[in-house]
Amino acid sequence: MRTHQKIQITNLLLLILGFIILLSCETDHGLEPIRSGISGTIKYIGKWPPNTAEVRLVAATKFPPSDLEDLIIGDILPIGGDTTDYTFYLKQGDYYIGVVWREREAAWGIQSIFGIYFEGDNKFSPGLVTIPDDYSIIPNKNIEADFANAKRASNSRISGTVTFIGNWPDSSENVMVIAANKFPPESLLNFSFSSLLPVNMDSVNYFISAAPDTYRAVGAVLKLIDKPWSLESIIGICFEGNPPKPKEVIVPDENSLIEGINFPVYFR
Amino acid sequence: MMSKRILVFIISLIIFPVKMILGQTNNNYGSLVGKISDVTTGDPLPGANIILMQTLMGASSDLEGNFSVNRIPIGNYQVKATMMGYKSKVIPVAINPGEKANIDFKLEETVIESPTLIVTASKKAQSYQDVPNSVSIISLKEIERRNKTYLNEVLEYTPGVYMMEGDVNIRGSSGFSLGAGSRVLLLVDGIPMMPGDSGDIKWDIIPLSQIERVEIVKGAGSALYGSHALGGIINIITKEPTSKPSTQIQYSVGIYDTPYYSEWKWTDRLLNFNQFDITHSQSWDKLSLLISGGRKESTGYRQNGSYSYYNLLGKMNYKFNPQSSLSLQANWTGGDYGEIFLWRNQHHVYLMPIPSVGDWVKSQRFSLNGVYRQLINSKFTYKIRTSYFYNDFQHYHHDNNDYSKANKLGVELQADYILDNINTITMGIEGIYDRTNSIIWSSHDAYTWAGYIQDELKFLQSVTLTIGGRFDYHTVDTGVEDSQLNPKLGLSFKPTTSTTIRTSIGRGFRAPTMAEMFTETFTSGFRVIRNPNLRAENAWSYEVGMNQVVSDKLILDLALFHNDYKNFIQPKPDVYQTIQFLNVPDARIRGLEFTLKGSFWKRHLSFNLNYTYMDPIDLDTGETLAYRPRHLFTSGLTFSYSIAEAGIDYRYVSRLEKVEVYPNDDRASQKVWDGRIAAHLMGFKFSFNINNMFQYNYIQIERNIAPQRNYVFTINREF
Repeated sequence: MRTHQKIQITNLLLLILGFIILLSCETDHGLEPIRSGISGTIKYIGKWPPNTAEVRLVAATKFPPSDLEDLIIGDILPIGGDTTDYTFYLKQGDYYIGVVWREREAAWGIQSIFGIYFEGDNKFSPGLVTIPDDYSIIPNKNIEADFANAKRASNSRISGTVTFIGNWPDSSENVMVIAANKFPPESLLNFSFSSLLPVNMDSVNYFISAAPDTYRAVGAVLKLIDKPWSLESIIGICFEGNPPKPKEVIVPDENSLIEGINFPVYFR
Repeated sequence: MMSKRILVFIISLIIFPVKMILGQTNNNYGSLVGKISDVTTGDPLPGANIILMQTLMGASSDLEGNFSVNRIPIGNYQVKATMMGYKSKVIPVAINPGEKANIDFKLEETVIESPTLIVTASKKAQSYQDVPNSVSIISLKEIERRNKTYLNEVLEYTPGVYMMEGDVNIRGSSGFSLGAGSRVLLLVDGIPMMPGDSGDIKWDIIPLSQIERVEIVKGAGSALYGSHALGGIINIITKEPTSKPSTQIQYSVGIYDTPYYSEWKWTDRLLNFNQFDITHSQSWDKLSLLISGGRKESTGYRQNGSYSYYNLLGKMNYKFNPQSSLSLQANWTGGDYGEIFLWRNQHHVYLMPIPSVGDWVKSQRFSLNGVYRQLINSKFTYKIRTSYFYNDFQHYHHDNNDYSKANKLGVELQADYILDNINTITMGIEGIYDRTNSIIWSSHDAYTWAGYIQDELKFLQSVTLTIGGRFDYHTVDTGVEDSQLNPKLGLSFKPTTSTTIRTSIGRGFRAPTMAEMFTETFTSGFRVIRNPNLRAENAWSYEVGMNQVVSDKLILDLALFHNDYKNFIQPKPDVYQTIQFLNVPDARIRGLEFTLKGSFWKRHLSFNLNYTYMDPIDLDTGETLAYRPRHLFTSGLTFSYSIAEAGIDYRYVSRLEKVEVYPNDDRASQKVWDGRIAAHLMGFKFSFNINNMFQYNYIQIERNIAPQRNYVFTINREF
């Protein structure tokens, strides 16, 4: 056998060997199913709005969610009926879960959440569900979704400035401005929120994305580190008149910008 | 008044050369005939190209390897024969008045199958070594080996090319645009074939069985082709009618395996697909015809994934005389398919969200292209191309009934002129009219006018300099106007017979599509809103490359590329799944590409290794651009002997570092192995392919699982 033939055969054998090695390494199968999650029943309260386009599950890894990174957009649920059973497949971790409503020809937003899983009677702090491993389905996490709280996402906004007087608590984590369409509010779902605002400031400007409605009160809520939200989290309300009463703000239409809703917050 | 003058000019261009030819006597001309065959086997070589060097005259060999070139001005010529997989050969010939010169070419097979003539990069045939850009060719043999349904599935094995659910990316150009615009221009026989509304690529427009080869030119190509050719050009060269009557029948049937994970099994049905194509081709004295029909249908591998499509294609060539010819091609595709937008969840990746089950789309497309070619003399030729493309779809979705009917009409006049031994000029003018009538992006008209010129300068047979540019003016009925001059400079240098060094600089341009500007819809939880103020995007593209024949068994190609994008058009979803197309600040994609091809044992064993590295950056934020992987790798090994061939292919696309819609979802790299065997027996060709052999589960875009392992059996007979 001539030398170059030997070289050819050696090259060939090396090539085949290389491919066999590559093939034998191929035990990776890419994406895997998510097997763990949260399940329960969603109970719908009130009549289904005729313009309903979609109802779906969402989960947040922190509350309130600050951006897309904190949200997991889940399954689209069947439209209609009084109740629906759900299984929300999520990996091991801690989650807040809710249900959002979207009407036809409109987007959905945080304010479109009309059902949240609450632990116990505190309707101002969503219940945290822990999935301990990648194989457990956590059952009985039932949600009441009240169509009275189903708000459309819109371009209308309420804006103003909050002035902080006094010393901020050491454990301040974040602050938000809220507009409540019921006063006194009955649950977190009565609120429309601003984005998260910085703490330890003398004053902050805010915008609340608020659908057309009559808002019975505008106030500020403070989240303390390691403490859930509750009614006590409200640290200030915008008052008017004498005797003072919560200022009512009317957002008349889709593109309204209601400005000048300014109020102070006093830290004791 | 102006339009009358243009009409008179066009008519005179057609009539003038006829007059000129009729006015000349046959005493000034001779002709050339001959045969091209394999030097070893003596077999005729159909489809080889014959060129009379330093002229625009030439021919292709027929099924018996015969060729003829008529009405050649008397004189001495160098005749070059080229064919993919064979060494080019040049033979001198003297053409005498009224005589028929005869030369036979016996071509020697090269060890490695490498391309010879490219028709895309300069809108005319040119030697592969003269092209200043990186070019990849998908040959007929490679298309047949893949045994796929649509061209996009074949393209995934091309160096630097990857797919994002139907959006083709050349070196990361397109990302994912929701099917609303492409930065890669698709041509069919040199004619743009993108719908006037969505401006994306419809992969079903030409059945795979009708494709002779595909040329992929990388980098900005707007200097000759205008809008869309920002990241590159894909030119589908369709099969020509054969000189002898020929009928080809092909039937494929495939089945999908059960999903790898038991949780994902969603049905007990046998999921399958099949495809049937029949083609007949025949030629007479001056007329040649090809007609083809086919059907594709599938249950799909996912819930709601079924489709059923029919297609008809007709091609006609008519030679008025040796100097002038007319080609017409008509193609119709129609059918319906289940709409799949997203999976239900990662526990049920093959199921759709419950409300979306049953959503479907009905669509049809029709194209009619004509090319009139006129050779005025051996140095000057022109062609007139006309094209019409109709695209029509209707959604039957649970949440919308969007429809669109789009018409695109194009006309182009191109002239090629060999000025002297150094300069070859290509120039032309083009007009495009788009009209859409739709509910999804309302009804609009758009016009594009363009003119281009390019000079190819050859020095000492080893240096080719290309310089040129194109001016485009684009306007939409809403008043938005864009215009741009796109220059190009390219250099190809052959210091030795085995080395070619190439470099190019060019600017690309893309006008926003109707879909990007005017889409207003709600579908599957997403709201898309219009942006009528969207402006054209552009890119500067730079490349340096080298092609080295390492030995008679190895070819190496290396390229460094750099693309700077401005006014980049991107779909930007917000946190609430509302999407709008925006001009985002500047972006840059740069990288390198490496290709190694080899062949051993008298071409019984061949392999290829292709690697592309990309660095795609949003220059405003410094973040990686969405839907662009950093690494692409493909490789293939083929063993052929006598009547049989077997091979294995591997495809790797690294994990996407950034996606826009569901950034929290799992993402994996793509690692796909395909296997194939084929044999010729008793006049039949049998092929068997296993795609995704090792059941790798991956997505190209979020929440869309790619097909699991599937088996395809194909039988093909030509008589």
